[in-house]
Amino acid sequence: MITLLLALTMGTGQPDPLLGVRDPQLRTLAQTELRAAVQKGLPTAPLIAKTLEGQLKQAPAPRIAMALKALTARMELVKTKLGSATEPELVAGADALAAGVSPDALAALRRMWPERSIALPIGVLTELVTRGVEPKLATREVINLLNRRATPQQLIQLGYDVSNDVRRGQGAHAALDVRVRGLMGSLLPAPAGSTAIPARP
Amino acid sequence: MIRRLLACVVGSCASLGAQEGTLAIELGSARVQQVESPSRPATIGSLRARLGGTWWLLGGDVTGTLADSVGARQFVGLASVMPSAWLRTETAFSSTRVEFERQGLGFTQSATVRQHVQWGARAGAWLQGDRATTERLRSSFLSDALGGVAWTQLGRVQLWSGWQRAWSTDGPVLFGPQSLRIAPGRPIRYDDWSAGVVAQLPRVDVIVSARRRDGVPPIAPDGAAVRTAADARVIVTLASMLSAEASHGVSLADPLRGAPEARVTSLLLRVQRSGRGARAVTWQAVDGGAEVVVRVRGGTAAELTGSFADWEPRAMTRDGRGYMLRLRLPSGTHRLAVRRDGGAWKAPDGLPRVTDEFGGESGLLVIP
Repeated sequence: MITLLLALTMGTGQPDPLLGVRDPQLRTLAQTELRAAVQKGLPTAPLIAKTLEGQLKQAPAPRIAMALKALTARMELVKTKLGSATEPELVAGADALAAGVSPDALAALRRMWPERSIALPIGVLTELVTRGVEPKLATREVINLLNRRATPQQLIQLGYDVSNDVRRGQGAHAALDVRVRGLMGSLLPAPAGSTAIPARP
Repeated sequence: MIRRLLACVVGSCASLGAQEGTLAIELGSARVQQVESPSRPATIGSLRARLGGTWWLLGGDVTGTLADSVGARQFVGLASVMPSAWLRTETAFSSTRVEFERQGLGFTQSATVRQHVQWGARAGAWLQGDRATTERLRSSFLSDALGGVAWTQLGRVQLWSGWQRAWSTDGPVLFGPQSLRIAPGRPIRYDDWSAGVVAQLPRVDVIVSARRRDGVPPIAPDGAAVRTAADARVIVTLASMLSAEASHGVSLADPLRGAPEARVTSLLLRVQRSGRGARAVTWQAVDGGAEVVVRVRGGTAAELTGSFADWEPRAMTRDGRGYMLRLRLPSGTHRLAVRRDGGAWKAPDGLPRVTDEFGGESGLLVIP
């Protein structure tokens, strides 16, 4: 049954997705992880990409297999937290968890945008955390901005601006504070009765 | 000539690619032999520091002995604004102080605006306007120049061609065979046509250029209406941060600034590294994603990979002294990694670094 599912996912008659994997041991280990992912209803493309990344970086096969297990676990957790999730959301969510974002933060983002893809907001959140913003603070600011109907472009610009400020030597929290205040001025007030988190004074 | 000479010594005139985020220290010397008068050769030293980002501050110090000058100092301030990977506007102000042995002090102050347009690594052009005030022998006059250069990259060969018109109606200084002289109220105008080729070999750049000048009135020492000159330059990459440059050729006179024609032989060492956190990835939103340009500095080869390419390496193409690759990425989050000379995969400068499970890193890029 699992083999059948894997074959269906990968597309029977299509080129082998692990064709680029040269090490037989890695190939075997990766196939095992792919089957496990299919069984859990998770996409296999991120796992294939992770396998190829590990191979490119000349990691040993067991280490790549561990990375695949960890990625599967993170995607599974993201799926649980988000309910239905697209592949980009699962990948972005898994990256966010790896960067230190909490699973509950992802769920909060989903509640803000129940009918839209939250892959980009998650990506910006990850970018902010990677730049040194404390995860809870970054989550709060992103949720506040979504609540005030910031567009994905505005969010991405925010991440870009904060990154630039940090590169130029400004503290991550100070940069986020300044940029959020600047962006807030151009956004609508939060809807009445919303669950927005008050901005810091 | 001093302005021209410094430009040749530091070799910045051929740097057509983006110059964001570098710190470079350049040490050089040149031997200058004035062509049109039998003077002693001068030895000129140059030490310049260039800090990348938005602002550059350059300074040059020239000492030596020509027929009429004993020394000069030049300082240049340059602002560079790069709103996208394909556009760059530069505004420069320079001040040159020349001490003449017999005639005393002279000053030239100039302001230059240059607009670059670049189409990836394949082709580009820039247009430049320049206005200068020169004081010589208690006279002061204005001069203007307008010109441009277009270039194209064909594999490992870059071809360029340019034109510049310089003029003054203010009675400029002319540098005669033996000394300075002034022709008050005598308009002068000349056109410079230039062309060159840059051969970019794995560790060596060879640059050959030629110029032809038509002047009104004739400005060559022998009275000819046309003057030609050529020079050659070789840049050898010694290490990822170190390069050496040697050049030899004739620098045409700058009649509007009172500089003579001269033979120049120079040697330069350049120590350069990417600025901390320099952004080497720029993008421009297009329908459904973005066009992304990734740049890497130095090295003899560079590759780019990432989630967009299923982690299959892609060779980057030469771009000035570095490498670049232009991509079209769909909306979403992407991870990118670059490496030079077969080394470790690293996040491109300026992108947030994400550590992976394999002891390496990649850069995170979010595209709207």
